[in-house]
Amino acid sequence: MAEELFQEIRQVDRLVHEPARLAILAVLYGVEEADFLYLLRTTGLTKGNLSAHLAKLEAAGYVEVRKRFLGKKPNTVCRLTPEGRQAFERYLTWLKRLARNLG
Amino acid sequence: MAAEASRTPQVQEMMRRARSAWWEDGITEIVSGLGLLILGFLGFQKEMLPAPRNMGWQLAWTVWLGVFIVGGNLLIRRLKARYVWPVAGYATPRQDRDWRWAGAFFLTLILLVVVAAWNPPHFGAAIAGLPLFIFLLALYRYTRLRRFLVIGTLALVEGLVLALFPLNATAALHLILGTIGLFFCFSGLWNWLRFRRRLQEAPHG
Repeated sequence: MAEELFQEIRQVDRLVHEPARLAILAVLYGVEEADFLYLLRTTGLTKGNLSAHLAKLEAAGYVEVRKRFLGKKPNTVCRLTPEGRQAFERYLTWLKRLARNLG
Repeated sequence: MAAEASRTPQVQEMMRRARSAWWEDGITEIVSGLGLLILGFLGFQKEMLPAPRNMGWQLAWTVWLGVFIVGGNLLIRRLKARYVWPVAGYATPRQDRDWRWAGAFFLTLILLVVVAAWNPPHFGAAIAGLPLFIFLLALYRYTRLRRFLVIGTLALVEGLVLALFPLNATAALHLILGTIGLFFCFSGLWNWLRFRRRLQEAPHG
């Protein structure tokens, strides 16, 4: 029983499990797309942190990052890829299963 | 699994925030309010004059409806891109659960057509506010912004009040549209000022 539980815990997607990245994914899951400033305001992360975590999520193929211009200002727009969406849904299912097994 | 994830309270809150973000700066309300106000005014004039004399109003109403539908969203996006997104951030609401929204829109459209086609005196004015109430109720459910519920209720009440006057349903409908437009302008302006003040107080909050 305990071994099964630990195996379950080991299955966690570490990329999603990190709190800052989880917050980014949760925001992006709820929207079609959002820009850097919106993510900054909703997650409460610092610019450096947000950039670093977005880069990791982009490298994993979970987030698509697009650069554009709003007037003369550069603007970074992010959206979840289908893989990112699935990873987030898988994570939530895993979390609920784990909570059930622990409870 | 997707539906289960969407039901998670935090995810729902994120979805709701993105939906209401579209309205919270007041720009959408000001633009659509002005559009509705002019549409209501032109429509009411068109209804008040006898057939050959109202041709000019009819033409102006049709042209304005086209301009409003095509240009309204474009203007809102332009204004937001210039005044809102650079300081408050940009997010578009998720589309894949919007079928209820589309349903409310089409139900409103059908009811509007029925009211306009039916056009009974007095009673028509009483029910003219109903489709607009349904639309604003759906908007409230979609954004959870209470002001839409208030404006929707006012539309319903206005329809009942207008039933006391000898107005046909289409004229009443345009009068209500104009009033909604006016309320939208006021609430949009109020929200725009509130939004600016909030940004000044907490630029990243």
